[in-house]
Amino acid sequence: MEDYLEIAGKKFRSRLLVGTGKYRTPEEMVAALDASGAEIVTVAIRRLDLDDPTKKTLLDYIDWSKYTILPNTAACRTVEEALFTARLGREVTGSNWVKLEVVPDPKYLLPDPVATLEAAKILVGEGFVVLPYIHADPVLARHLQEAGCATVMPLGSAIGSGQGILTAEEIRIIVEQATVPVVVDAGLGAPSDAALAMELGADAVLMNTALAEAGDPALMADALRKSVEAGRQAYLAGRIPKKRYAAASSPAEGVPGRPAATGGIG
Amino acid sequence: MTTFMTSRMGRLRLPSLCFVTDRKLCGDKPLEDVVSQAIDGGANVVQLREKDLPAGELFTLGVRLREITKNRSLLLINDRLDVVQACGADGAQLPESGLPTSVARWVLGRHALIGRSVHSVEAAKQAEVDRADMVIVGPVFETTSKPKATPVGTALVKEIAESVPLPVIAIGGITPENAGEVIRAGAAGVAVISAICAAADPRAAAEALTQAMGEAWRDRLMERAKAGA
Repeated sequence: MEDYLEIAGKKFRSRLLVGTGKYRTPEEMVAALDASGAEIVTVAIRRLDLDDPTKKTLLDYIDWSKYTILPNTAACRTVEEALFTARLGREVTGSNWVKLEVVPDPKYLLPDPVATLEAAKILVGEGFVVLPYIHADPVLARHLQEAGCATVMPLGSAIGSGQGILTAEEIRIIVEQATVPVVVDAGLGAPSDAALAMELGADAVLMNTALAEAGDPALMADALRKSVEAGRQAYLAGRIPKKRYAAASSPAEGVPGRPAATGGIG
Repeated sequence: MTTFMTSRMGRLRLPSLCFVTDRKLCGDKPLEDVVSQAIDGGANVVQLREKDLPAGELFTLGVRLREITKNRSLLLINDRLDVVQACGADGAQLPESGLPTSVARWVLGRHALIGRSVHSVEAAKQAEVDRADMVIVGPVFETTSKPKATPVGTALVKEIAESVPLPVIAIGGITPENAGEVIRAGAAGVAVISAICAAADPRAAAEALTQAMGEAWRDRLMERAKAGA
């Protein structure tokens, strides 16, 4: 079956997007990226050391002929910082894609909805393909897709927390209203979280810490790749509704010496 | 706005320091050692250009350089597409008198990296139409490698960089002292022969070029980002 993730006219087979932060070594990162099957890899432009041209940066370790680079504006607190970082990212990487993050507070790392919307409008106007990171707010998600964003990226829970999806109901509504891909980003800690996001109808997930800080990042990446595929298949297959009471798995119909069953059908 | 991150170019980090070989300038140092030291100093493209060697010897040398450059730098072969394929190089650098770029693309396939030497805006535009990945422009300054050629100066680099959306690599008399000027004119990298080959310490020579080029490149990116270019 042809089932692609399509962002701004570009088609991807993988629905797992990955980050590049927090890895213990570049080698572990490269192995994890490879095992994840990811086709889109995000890079924090502000964390690149551009001061010493003779020093290798993250960009040098990755074979970019294999991946679509997604520059992000992590560590930007204001609209101005995010705009500058997005433009710098475009210069450094040659890509006009940007994962827009405006996060004013380093403790909670929650995205600023007002600043994000403002920056998104400006960047869309400048020809960027904008993928905004937001709280799982269905109204904000609508504003952003109407502003011309290429996706919306609601969080599952706080960045790096590994708490999984605490925003399932909101994500469900965002998915229901979406005219652009919904990428669940942040807080996913394990394959079960990724699978749940996909079962809820998300078009993709973005994960970083779950890989980078796992005991074996490449092994975890492989597990995540499978869980995203499984979750996607389950969503397409259509899961059964949850019922309050048990329903026998074997039909009781026609069992000798029993009255006709009223509940289970198998 | 220039987009370099296509699938082929994704392998080439910019700004690029391209080391073009000339074994006769290496003195008593083996070419392999000079190549390795150049890469240690920051060269990310090695172009094998030994025009007097027959295919057999070029192939032998190409295979050795492929070993040395593996996972460390890209390897291009000047002119000889057969040698590109034979030694598993990343692509070719076509001299202006070489095969048409479109033909080279057809021969080497879409994954190969193809550079074209050009001396005019028209030739650069044609190279882009013919699916070259980058153009090499020069000689920018006076050079011992091509003593009879008239330098084109940074003006042509600027004109070409503004006319085609391909990385422009400047060649000819580039030193750490003038590398910044070339980058500010719009080049996405520099190519050198004698500056590394004939240097007493090829690694240090490459490092100095990387440093000068990188600083100018970073400043240019920052300026463009600030201007919202």
